[in-house]
Amino acid sequence: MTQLRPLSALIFAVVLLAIWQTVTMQSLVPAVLLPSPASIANRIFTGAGTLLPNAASTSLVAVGGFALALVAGLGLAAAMALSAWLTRLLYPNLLLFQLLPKVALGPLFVVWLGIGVPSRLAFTTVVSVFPVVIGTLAGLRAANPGQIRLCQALRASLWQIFIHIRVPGALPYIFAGARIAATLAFTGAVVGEFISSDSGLGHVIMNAASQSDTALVFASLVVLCILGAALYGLVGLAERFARRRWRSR
Amino acid sequence: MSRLRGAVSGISAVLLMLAAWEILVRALHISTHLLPPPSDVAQALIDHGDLFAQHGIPTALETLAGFILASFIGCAFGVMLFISPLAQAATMPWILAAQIVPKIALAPLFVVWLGVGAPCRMVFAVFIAFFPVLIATVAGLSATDRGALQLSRALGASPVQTMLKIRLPFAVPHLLAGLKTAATLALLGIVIGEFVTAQRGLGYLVMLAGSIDETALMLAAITGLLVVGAALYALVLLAEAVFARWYGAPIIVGDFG
Amino acid sequence: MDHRHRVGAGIQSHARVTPAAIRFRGVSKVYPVKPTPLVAVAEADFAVAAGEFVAILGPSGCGKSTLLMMAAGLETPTTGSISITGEPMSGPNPHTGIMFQDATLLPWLSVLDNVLFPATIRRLKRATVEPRARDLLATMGLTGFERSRPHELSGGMRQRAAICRALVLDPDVLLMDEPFSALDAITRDEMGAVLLDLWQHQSKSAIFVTHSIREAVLLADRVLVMSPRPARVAHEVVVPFPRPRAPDVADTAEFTGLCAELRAMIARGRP
Repeated sequence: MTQLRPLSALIFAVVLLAIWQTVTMQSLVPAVLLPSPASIANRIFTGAGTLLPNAASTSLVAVGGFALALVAGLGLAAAMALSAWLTRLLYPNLLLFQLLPKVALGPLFVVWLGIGVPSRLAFTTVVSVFPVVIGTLAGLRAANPGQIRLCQALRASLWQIFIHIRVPGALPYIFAGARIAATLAFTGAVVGEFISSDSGLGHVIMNAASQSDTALVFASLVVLCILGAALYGLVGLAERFARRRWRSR
Repeated sequence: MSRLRGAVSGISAVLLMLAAWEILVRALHISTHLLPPPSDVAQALIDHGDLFAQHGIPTALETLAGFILASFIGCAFGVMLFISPLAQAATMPWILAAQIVPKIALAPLFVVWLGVGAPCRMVFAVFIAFFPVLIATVAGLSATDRGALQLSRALGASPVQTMLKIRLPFAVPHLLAGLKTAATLALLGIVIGEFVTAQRGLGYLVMLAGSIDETALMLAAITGLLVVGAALYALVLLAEAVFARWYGAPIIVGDFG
Repeated sequence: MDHRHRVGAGIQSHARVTPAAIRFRGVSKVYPVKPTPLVAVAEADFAVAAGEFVAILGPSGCGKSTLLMMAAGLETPTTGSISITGEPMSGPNPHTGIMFQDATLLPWLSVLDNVLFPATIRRLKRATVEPRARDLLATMGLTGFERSRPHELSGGMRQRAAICRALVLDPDVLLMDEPFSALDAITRDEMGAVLLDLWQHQSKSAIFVTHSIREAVLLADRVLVMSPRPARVAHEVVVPFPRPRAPDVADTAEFTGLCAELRAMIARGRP
């Protein structure tokens, strides 16, 4: 990719916001369809009472689901890596399942666990777990054969090879999967709230849209973007920390 | 031969899962309200064939249309951004940021803008799906083989010739990877659109089945979505196979991620 | 035997009537990087006569590839000028054909279409150029492979196709940038024989960049030895073996002696 000229991106955003503000101020577009950036910013403050607790609710489901997906995904991938027959059984099913948009399972979780946090948490976990599993599996498979041969020549145990070679080599892939999972976690949380919920930013958005409070819709979206970016950033930070500790390749 | 063996082993793994599902549900006497066995799901498919036609066809068509539109728009904008490094520098950070935030949450907004109906769902699907195509197009055009670019310069090729005869062909493997992602996302967009518009389609059918306590029907609708997803993905694989023949050499694209 | 060696570059052409196929006059190339500008070529002043095969020999980093890039019009000299058959150069032109270390055949074109690629770019009618392309492929021993794809060919065959492509528009000068470096030693020897054979049948000029002393002496009429820091032509050696030349000239004592002298020159040039 070309060198990013940092200022141009900022200038572009500022210009876009200025145009948006002008267009909406001149009422060229009805405020119901497109509120002005100023009114959105204002709504974030006036609506803080609604936005904050709902943001907390969504974040709980998203982050919780992400964490559970990490644990379950890493565990499943590790189990598959250690057991060839488990891989042969599960991997094709995993690939097949990738063709289905997991969000379609939302109503199923309502059937199983009702409406409420446990249901949405389980749903979010399932939505987020697949990239973790696939990423981890790809990473464990991508182990450097030269390094493994070296360990075998040194008579290292399978466990030592796993810890010293496979895991560090797999880290980039695991983190790539984790980043995708972080994005999907908020998607899952919000979709769960779309389907049936009485709390959370997804619920706020649905409600606000039906009442034509478009400014609140945008305000919620801004908060969601910040939260989503924050989780993604956390994963990125974790990756940088891990890279420094375990330099491989 | 090993590809055939791989396919057979894969299919038998899926069948094994289905068999295990059937046996476990019956043996453990799990309520069919919670988890019906595959046989019940198949029965629901047969019983409500007309429903599946009524809802499956719109979903399939809207997904296909959304995917095709997303591919063209993503590719066109990708080429445009590549041609203008300034536009690329100005917009790329925001495009990459857009990939990180849950764009899905904008679905109700699209209903506010476009009302309940197919246009709303399709525009939303295009919105969700065109980003990976754009990013892949820019990445592919930027990654052209340096030696080939040097050759084209040495031969005195014009920028248009270089783009058409060198950059675009080399970019197609990257583009195909982006199209695979877009296929998945187009369906995702349509399904969420159906959830939110609650008008018609397999996604709507899933919700409907839940509200009338017909879990077998719900699972059948989910299976229908799986079929649509598989069909669209197969379309992209077909395009990939056609391209591979034309390309005439093994294609190696970037690694995972 | 002193007439073979001349320290310092000088202009030498066999035929003073026809203009030199390519002439470098006071050419230098400086890249304006921070903190200190990079001098890729400090000073180059030489000419390649019509029909002459000149090798540019030197270790990595002595600017020999940069000289070739300037001859191809891919880089512009910072000072000085380059002229092709008497006319000043201004960018890539069909009087030069170029070959790189990588054959760079486009994988989606057949071998014949690859050879015709320069004609496609210059929008020439296929019918006018195709016979010549097929002849070249026959000369290079690639008859029967016209419709094959590059990935079906071996490395040596691909470079032979690249030679055909470089010659398809009948250039006056063939420019070659270490074209055989990526090949294994046996194929490399074969390619040397191929070039020697080719030079029997036609009278093009060539600039052949290499870091192989043996290759330079085997193929060239004249060897320009470049030294790094400053990057310039330090020595010029005429190769006295007559043409047509056979590969077994490499087994003669005179050949080995000449290689040894060149090796000594290069070693002296190293810090």
